[in-house]
Amino acid sequence: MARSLSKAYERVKNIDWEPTYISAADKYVEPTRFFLPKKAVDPFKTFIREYFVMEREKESRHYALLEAAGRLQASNPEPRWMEGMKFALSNLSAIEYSAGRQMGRMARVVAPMELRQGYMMQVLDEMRHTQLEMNVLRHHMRSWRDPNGYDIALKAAGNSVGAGIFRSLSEDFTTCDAVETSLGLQVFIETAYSNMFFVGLSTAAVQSGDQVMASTMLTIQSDESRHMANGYATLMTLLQDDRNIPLIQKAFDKWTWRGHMGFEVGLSLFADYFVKHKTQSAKEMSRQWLLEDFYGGFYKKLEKYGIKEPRWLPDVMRNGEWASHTAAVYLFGAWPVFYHRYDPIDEREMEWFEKKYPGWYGYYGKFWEAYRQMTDADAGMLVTKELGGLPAFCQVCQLPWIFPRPDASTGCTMQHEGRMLAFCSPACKSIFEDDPNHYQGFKSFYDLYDGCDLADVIQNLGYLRDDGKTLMAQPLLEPKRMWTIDDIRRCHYEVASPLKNIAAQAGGGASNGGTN
Amino acid sequence: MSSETPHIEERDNVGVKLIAGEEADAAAATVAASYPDAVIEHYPAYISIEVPKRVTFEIERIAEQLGRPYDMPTFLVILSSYNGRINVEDNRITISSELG
Ligand SMILES: [Fe+2]
Ligand SMILES: [Fe+2]
Repeated sequence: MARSLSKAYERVKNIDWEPTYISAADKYVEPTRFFLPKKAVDPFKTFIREYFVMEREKESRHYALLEAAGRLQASNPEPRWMEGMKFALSNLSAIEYSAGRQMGRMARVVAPMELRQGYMMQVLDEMRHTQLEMNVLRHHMRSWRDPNGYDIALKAAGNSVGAGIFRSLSEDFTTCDAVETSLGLQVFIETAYSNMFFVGLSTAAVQSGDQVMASTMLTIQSDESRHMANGYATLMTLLQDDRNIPLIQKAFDKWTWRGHMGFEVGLSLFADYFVKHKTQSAKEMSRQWLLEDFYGGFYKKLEKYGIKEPRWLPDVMRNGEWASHTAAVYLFGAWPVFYHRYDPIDEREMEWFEKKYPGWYGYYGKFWEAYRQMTDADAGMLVTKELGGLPAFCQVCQLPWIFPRPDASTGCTMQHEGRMLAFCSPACKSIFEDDPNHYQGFKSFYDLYDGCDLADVIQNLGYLRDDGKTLMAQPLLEPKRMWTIDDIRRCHYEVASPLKNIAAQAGGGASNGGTN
Repeated sequence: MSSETPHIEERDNVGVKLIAGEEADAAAATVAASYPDAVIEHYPAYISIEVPKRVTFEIERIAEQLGRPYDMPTFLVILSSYNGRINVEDNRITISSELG
C-alpha cells in the first residue's frame, strides 16, 4: 500500500453530505431513543477496495481447504460432533443471515458515517458467513455417512422447537432499537461470545476431525474482528453524550441475560456434550473468554464512564454453573423432535463431568440412567414421557422452564392479557415487563401442538427419512432397530402444555419461585 | 445454590488469535523479539499471543521475517480475533488495554 490509508479515509469522510430533498426523520426511517453526535469514533478503517482484496484472499484460502477435504476424506470425524453439527449449523446460518439484515437496518438508522461504513461492510460479512456455513452443511451432507438432518437443516431452523431459542434472539435483535442492536449484538454476542465459540471451539473441531468447520470458524472470526470494532466505536460514540448512559446501562442489563440464555447456554451445551475428546469444560471456557477477557478486560473499564455491573450478571453466574447440563436434559430428553442421532454420554464422560462440576451425578445421574434404559424401539418407552413430559417454555428466551437446574428452577409465570405466560427466570420476566409488545406474539411449541400426539408433531415437522416412516432422530448412534413413527405412536404421548394446570390451580397471577 | 456475587478483576492483557501457518509464526517471532513478557501458545488451528497492556504488529517486520513482501489486508486475513482496543494504521496494528 503506497498511499496513506488513514489520510484517504479522512478525505473520503468529508464527502458525506445531508440531502436537502428529504428530512432527517424520513431519511433515517426509524427513530432511535439514543443520542447520536454528528461525528463518531472510527471503527476499523477499511476501504471497500482493501475489503475485497482481503475477503477474496480469505475465501480462496478457505475454499482450497474445503476442496482438498472433499477429495482426500483423510480424517475419520467423530460421530458425536458430526451429528451435533446438524443442529448447530442449521441455527448458525440463520443467526448470521439475520445479523446481516440487522446491519442493513442499523445503517439506515444510525447517522454518523464512520459507523454506517462499518455496518455496511458487516452486511457483506454476514452474508459471507451464512454462505460459509451453508457450504459446510453441503459438504457434511455429502461426506458424512448419514446425510439425514443436514438435508433439512435450513427448514429446521424455522420449525424446530430448539431453534426457537435462536429465533427469539435474532428477532429481538432485528426489532429492538437499532442502536441497541449494536450494543447487544456487536458488544455482547460478537465481542463476548463469538470468541468463545469460533475460536474456543475450533480446537474441538480439529480434535473431532472436522477441519472444514475449524477453518470456517476461524475465517468467520476474522471478520468478527471488525464487528467487535464496530460495537466498540458505536459505544464510544454514545459515551460522548451523558444522556446515553442510563440507556446504555439498560441495554447492557438486558443483553447480559439475553446473550447468556440465547447464545451461551447453547454454546455451553455444545462444548460439554458434543465434544467427545474433552479438554476444557464449558464453565472453564466461560471463565476465560467471558469473565476474564470480556468482563475483566473490557466491561470493567467502562466504570469510569458511569456504567455499572450488569443487573443480571449474578444470575448469569448462578445459571452458568449448571446451564450446559440442564440444556442437555432438554435436548436429549426431547430427542424425537430433533433431527440428528444422539450418542449418549459414557461412563468416562460421567466421571469427567463429576470432576469438572462436583455434584453433577447427584443432579443429573438419574436422567442419564433413565435415558439409557429407554433407547430401544421395541421396548417403546419415551424418556420425555416417563419423566413427566416437556416443560413450559419461556416466553422471552424460549428455553424450557428447568434452569438453572431441573430440581431448582427459577421459573415463574404471569397473567398477561388473558393468557398465562411462563418465564425461565425473574430476568426474562422483567425483560418482558419492560417491553411486552416485543415478546408477546412469539408462538411457542404449545401454541402450535398442544393436544397433539407426538407422532403427529414429528410428521408435521417433517423430520422423517425418505421411507416416510423412520425418524431422522435416533436416541443412539447405531440403534439395534431404528425408531419409526409407529413406535412413537405406540407410546401414546400427547403433548400437553403444563401452563394449563398452573393456570387452573392458581386462577391467574401466580408466581412460582422468582425471587431474586 | 450458591449465590456469590461475581468478583471481576480488571485485566490489562491484550492479545490476538492468528490463524495457524507461516504468517502467524512470523508475526509471533516479531512479537517474541520485542516483548519479553509475551505469552505465545500454539493451538491446533491458531496461535494465541498475549502481552501486558499494549502490542504493536509492524507489517514491515513480518515481511522481513517471511523474506517476502507482505501487506495489511493479508495480515487481516489471519487476524482471527483480538482482545483489547484495536487501531489499524497503514503499516501497523496496535492493540492496547486502555479505553477511549
Ligand atoms: Fe457473522
Ligand atoms: Fe427466559
